[in-house]
Amino acid sequence: MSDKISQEIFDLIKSSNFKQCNVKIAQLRKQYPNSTYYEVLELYVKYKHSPSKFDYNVLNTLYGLKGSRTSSDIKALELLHTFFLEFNRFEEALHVYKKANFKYPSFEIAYYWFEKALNDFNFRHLGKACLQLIKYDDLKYNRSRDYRIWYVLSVLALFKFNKALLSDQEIKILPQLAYKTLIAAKPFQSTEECVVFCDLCETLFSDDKEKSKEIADLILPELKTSVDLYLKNYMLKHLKDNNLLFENCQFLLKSIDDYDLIKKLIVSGKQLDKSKNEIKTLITDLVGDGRNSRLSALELDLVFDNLISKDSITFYLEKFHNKQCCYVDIKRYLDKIDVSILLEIFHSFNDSDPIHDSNLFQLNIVEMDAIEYYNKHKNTLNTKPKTDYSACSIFILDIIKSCLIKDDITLKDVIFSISVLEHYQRKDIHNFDTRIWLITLYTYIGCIPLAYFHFNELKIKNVQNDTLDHLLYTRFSSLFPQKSHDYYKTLLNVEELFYGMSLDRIPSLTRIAFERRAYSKILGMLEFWINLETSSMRWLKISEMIQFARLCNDKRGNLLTEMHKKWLKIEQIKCNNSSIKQWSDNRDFDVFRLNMKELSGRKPKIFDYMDIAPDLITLNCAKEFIIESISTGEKSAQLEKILNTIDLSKTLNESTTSVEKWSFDIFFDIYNNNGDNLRKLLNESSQFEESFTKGTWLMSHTYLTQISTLKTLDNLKRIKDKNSKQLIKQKLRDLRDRVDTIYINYSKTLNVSYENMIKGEKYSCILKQLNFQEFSMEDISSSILTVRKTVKNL
Amino acid sequence: MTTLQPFEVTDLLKLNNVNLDILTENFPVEFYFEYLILWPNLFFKSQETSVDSEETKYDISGYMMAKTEGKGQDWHSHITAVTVDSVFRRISLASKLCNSLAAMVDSKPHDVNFIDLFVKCNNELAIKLYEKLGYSVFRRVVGYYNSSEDGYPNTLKYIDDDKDAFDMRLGMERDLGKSIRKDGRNFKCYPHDIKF
Ligand SMILES: CC(C)(COP(=O)(O)OP(=O)(O)OC[C@H]1O[C@@H](n2cnc3c(N)ncnc32)[C@H](O)[C@@H]1OP(=O)(O)O)[C@@H](O)C(=O)NCCC(=O)NCCS
Repeated sequence: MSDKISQEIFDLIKSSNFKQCNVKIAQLRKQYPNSTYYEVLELYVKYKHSPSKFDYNVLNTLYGLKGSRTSSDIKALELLHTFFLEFNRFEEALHVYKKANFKYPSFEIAYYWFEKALNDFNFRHLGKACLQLIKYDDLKYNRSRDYRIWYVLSVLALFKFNKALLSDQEIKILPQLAYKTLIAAKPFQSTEECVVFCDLCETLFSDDKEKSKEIADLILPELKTSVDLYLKNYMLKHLKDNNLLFENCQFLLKSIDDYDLIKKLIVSGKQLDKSKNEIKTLITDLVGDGRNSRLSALELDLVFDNLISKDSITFYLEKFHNKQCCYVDIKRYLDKIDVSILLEIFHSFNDSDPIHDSNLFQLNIVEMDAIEYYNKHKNTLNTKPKTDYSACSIFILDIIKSCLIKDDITLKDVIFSISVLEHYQRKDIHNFDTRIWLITLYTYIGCIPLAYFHFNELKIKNVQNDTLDHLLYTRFSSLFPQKSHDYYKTLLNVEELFYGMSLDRIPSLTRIAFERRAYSKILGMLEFWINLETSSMRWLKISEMIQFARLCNDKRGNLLTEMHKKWLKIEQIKCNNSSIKQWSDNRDFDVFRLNMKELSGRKPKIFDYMDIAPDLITLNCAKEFIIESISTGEKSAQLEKILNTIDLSKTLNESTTSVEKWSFDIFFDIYNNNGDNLRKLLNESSQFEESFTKGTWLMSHTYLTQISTLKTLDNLKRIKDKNSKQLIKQKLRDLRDRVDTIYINYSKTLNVSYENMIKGEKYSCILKQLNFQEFSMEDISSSILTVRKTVKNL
Repeated sequence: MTTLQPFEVTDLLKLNNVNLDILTENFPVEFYFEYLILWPNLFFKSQETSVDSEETKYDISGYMMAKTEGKGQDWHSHITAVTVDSVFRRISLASKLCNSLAAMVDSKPHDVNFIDLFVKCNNELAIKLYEKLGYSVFRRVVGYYNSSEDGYPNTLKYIDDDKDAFDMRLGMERDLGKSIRKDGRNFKCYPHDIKF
């Protein structure tokens, strides 16, 4: 039963060569009549040959939850696992292992069960597999104790990700069982093992004082010999005796300078009737004269007097008034500080440093405005090392934010901001706070090649792509679908290297973390893995890739197969983990350094192109499945399930652009209504005229979404009606005929906006004050021309 | 207000304030996993408790990524990355991360003999930082930063500050001064000599 033969069969399935495949299988069945593997494989081939005709009950009666058969053949189990997964039968897929273990217990089967359960994010099965593994003690390596810990980690994961689906009995019994299982492994042999014990007691016995004391008792001796940050945290939370706290905080502060330790030292010191001065001196003796120790003066004031003294603020500021951390630190205590005193102290220091002024400026306690401050300090830009960042960017960003954070933003506002930032960027070339805004502004006005230039300068790589690609790649297929441009090549690279290779390796790396006993990291790894699998940006790109293929009339078969496979994974994760309901939004908007609290969570209009509600991602995926279903003429249960999970009308009315809604309505009408409203919907495209005159990113987006919709319709054999077919062709022609005019007009509009900005009082005056007068529109015009050429070719 | 906390892999999703820096390397996630798996407590971050979490998720002000390796006298810790958010620079945070690492690896279960790191010979700033912390140059690794076009060095005769690295070391007490070499800057070696 060599793997080579199996591979041959799978290759034949892949190439849909079922004739040869059946011959081969028949031969193998004859040769190995007792092989469960070939028996299952034969069934699998039947299914793959014609999925719609295959009767799932055949498989279910044999190997389902109440199935009559049990196999211990690892290859058969593996295939059954895959087989059930293809029917979205997540429980059955693992159940085959459970049954095998029950009937033919072996270490090997239990281990495979563990591995599969981990891959499937099924922590209930993971736990059960671990309980089996414990039975196989390996005296040489003493692995049984490891499996005890693995079991506890499974229970912790189960409670973290799937608590809502646990029965009352499980909630009661599992923590006790986990505790007992772990106690049997005492004494713990490493800090990592101790961390698991503490985590178990802390999270699953949160109100249990006894358990809290057990944590403290366990870690105190450990702390004496090793410096470990987890143990430090547990000590701070669970050690209640003030004498011990005071003593241990001191002990640890000799090795690490940690503000949490300092705070506990202060509180426990006060309880022990130590004087304020005594504690203050002690802190400096322990950690030296640094930021934490100087800040602790403020904390001491608060704890002892509930009032921060002028002396303490002076003590902190004399060393940190010209360090950027100052703003963050002081802001924290601002409501306890008299602002006039603060200002007085600030003024007593030399203010020739831009950081000193930027702190005052950010604390909002000054009279000078951003332009004045910038001008006061702009000379420092000429002398700073290239790789240092200048605090002048704080003033510049304030200037542009005040013109951009509003609802009625105009092209003039955007061009003004771009001209300010482009000037500044040349003087502070590595500053990413400013460059991030340039990327957004250029994307907002549809100048993707320029936005890409700045994006590329930031050398964004690996996991950063998942958190930052939205700046440039949201709705990419309707912004700048140019295959030969690095903009697109970079995207493909990320798809292959990051979401492909790196994400693929996470399951095995997580398993290795178990094997290598890196226990403290495992729950985080599981969370991270889920975050990437369900990443909103990843899924947005998956659906956009298919839309892009439609736009170019490329084959979509492979992309769709991949998407189905990935979708299955998402369903599996959600099915096994009640806490995961939505996409994981890993997109970083804090990079704009906007205070979302002040904006009451409302994103500014300039971010509109990145405004993607979770349900819109689902809707976009559903749209591609709908088009697939229209082409194949088969309704899919998966698609129906997706459509049932979203509130269609709400999503369409609240979360889409008007052209996205139009496009979806058209395909949905064909899918659901046989296209009865097709012509009416097609004629509604006149509503988009406004986007063509207003410009911005919406212009390309509206144009290209129409083109991709019409091109797809044009290729659909399902549309039989001649008039509709003609109308589609005509609409396509009309649009294409106008493309040059639309873009030429837009370029003109941008130039007029620039002229208006220069002529207008407000902005030209600011530019003059900043000495930023000359700005050429050439780059913007040529960028728009590049986009126009791309769009014209489609 | 800095507290030192273990680095979790999920932190990678909220690190742009630190990692967008031009001199900070962004490794493939597998590389971060490797460090977290093999040296879980030598990868840690400085976290700012004064940052308002409703305002921003950026509460990590810097991190240290280190490992242990070598045998016998060569048993040591190696600093792979140390980096600090620009908002929290020049307040000794990098120094603190290095000192904390020293405290950790100088205690159980590590008990190393020394800590080492590589720094470009022309990175005066970083060299100064480490010298202030007690590190000194142990040897010069010729061609450590060579590109594939430069190729592997075939002689130790030619030096280039932009291509060579200083191997800087800090000895623990148990090392008995063996990691200090008076004329370290002139002691040259090949990149293959630094494999442990
Ligand atoms: C290098 C880096 C880690 C320093 O971090 P930091 O927290 O600001 O460093 P410290 O405050 O502990 O600095 C210690 C000493 O190093 C030197 N130093 C650090 N940054 C400096 C700078 N920008 N200019 C001049 N000297 C500097 C100074 O002598 C400083 O002491 P001082 O402030 O009392 O004058 C930080 O700039 C950074 O993250 N850079 C990008 C990543 C990087 O280059 N890592 C090092 C690779 S080897």
